[in-house]
Amino acid sequence: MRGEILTFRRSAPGIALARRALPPNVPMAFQPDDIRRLARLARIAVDGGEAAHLARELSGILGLIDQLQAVNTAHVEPLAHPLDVVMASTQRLRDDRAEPAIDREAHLANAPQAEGGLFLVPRVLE
Amino acid sequence: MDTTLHALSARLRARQATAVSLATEHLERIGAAAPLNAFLHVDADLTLAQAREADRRLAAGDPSPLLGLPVAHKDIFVTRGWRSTAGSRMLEHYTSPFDAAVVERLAAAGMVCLGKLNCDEFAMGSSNENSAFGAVRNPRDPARIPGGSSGGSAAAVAAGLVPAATGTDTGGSLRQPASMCGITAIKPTYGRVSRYGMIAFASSLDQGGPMAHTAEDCALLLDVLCGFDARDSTSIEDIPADKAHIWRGFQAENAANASPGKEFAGLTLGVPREFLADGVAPEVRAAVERAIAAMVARGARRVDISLPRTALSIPAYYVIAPAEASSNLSRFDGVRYGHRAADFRDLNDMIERTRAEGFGREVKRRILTGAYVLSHGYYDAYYLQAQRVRRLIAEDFQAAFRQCDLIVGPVAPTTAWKAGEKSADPVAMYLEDIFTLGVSLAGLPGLSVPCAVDAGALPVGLQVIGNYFDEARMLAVAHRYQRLAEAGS
Repeated sequence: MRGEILTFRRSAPGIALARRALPPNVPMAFQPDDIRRLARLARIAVDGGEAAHLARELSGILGLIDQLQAVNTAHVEPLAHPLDVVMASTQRLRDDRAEPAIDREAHLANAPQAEGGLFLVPRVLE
Repeated sequence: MDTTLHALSARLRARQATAVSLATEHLERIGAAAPLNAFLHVDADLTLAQAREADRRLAAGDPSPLLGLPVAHKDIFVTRGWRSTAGSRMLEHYTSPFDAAVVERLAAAGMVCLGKLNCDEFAMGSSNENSAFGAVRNPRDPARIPGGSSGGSAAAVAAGLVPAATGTDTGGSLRQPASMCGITAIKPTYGRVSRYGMIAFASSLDQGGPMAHTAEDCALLLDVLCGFDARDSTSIEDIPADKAHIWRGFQAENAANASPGKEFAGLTLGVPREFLADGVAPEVRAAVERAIAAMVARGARRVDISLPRTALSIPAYYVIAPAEASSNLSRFDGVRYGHRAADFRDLNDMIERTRAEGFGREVKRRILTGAYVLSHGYYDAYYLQAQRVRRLIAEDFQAAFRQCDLIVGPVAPTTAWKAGEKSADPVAMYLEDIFTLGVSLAGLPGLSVPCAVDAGALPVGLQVIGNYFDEARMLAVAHRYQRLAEAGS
């Protein structure tokens, strides 16, 4: 996902404490075309009606999360593992050693299509 | 009749019941309560096989305290035998080849599994209306939501279909449904309960935990659920020795605070002013104030504190959780397991259609939100900024714990709302999570214990928040509060 360039039309950045989804007079941050582009990146097919609906909903969500822009976080390190606040290093790495992991047949039994111990997918190369 | 694990265990030990009779009794109740839609999968043969094995262990004198007692699992935990759907069409027919760590641990303790419980799809929701298999109803008022995302678990316990259940909490999904159904639940410190076999939503937040009628039952369950697991890369190995044992700690805390009228002596309760501000329903605020006053009357000291970034926990959470979800849910591609679309042009089309058909609306909203905040140009402004705010929120809690032992307040701003009332407006639904999200972002333990009912007889939960690994003390305080409330009612 990262590395793909996206440009989106934006309404006024840093919409203040939107209590509800954007009121109708505020221009929508997302247009249906933006949703289609985002959905393609996320590998989800959306039809026209759904894209319009999602554009409205995601614009409301953007109004909410844009509140973060007003916070001064200069010199604050991002926190990924919550216990890093109180404990030294909380991320473990296991020894680099081969271990029996999964029962191949049991896992293949859940596959939509499998054959000869392999997952089957539509042909990619002609 | 007393349906706590504690009471049912006494019936088993007194030979007034067997594991098989308890299982049969509860399976009948589950069958009769189908309109609640709390259970997604029941299999009497699997259950009774476990019950017969438990009866053999009981006959042999096995003293395990949970042996022979019924439990059911939120359908986010994978189970061998029972289907594991995560409340999603995507996994409608999925059967796991292995058990989740939580499932393994309770089974090893001798608990008998009654089946799988409904939940919001991939645990995304606050009302249980996002399940692909239909909404769950609140047993206190079937027109209302049970809370979410562990709504099936909360409803099943509240309705007496099972004495205890597992749930998961990413932003309040154990505490909020417990509050709305009038039961007790605890979200442990992040990393205490293994995430192995828990279908992932937001991995830096997801944490499993128990739901039951009482804090005492939750302590018994959590004692078994906690423990290091090498299969979960964020499982915590080095828990301070004095906090390592839940049940032992719970008992010691209660023994040290047994003198009548002084049950909370020496305990400082911090009350964040942001948790009792405008926007909290007056009846909820009054109920929480009464609960605090009852503890103060028996020795607790109250200090008013501030968690100044409480409101910011909502946007921080609704960036981080969707970002992690969009990454975690990329595994559902119609290739290895789960749904695959029937018609498609090529591989890409197959994946896109599979995901369009398999995921519900809220899941799609979160995946797209997550894809957006992780995309180039927005990653720093949203995702990293949310993680920086996350640190500030966690530090606010540490500052608060320098002034008090435990933090208390409401779990949610309101009691259970009517089904359908907020389902058209995702942002309105997100705002309901305001008092549970900060705890999740900080990785702290938090519990919900019933403290009152409102004028409509709907339950209000009191939230008790502790510092890292302080679950035993939190449960002991909740237990003594519950004893007090029982005596007073």
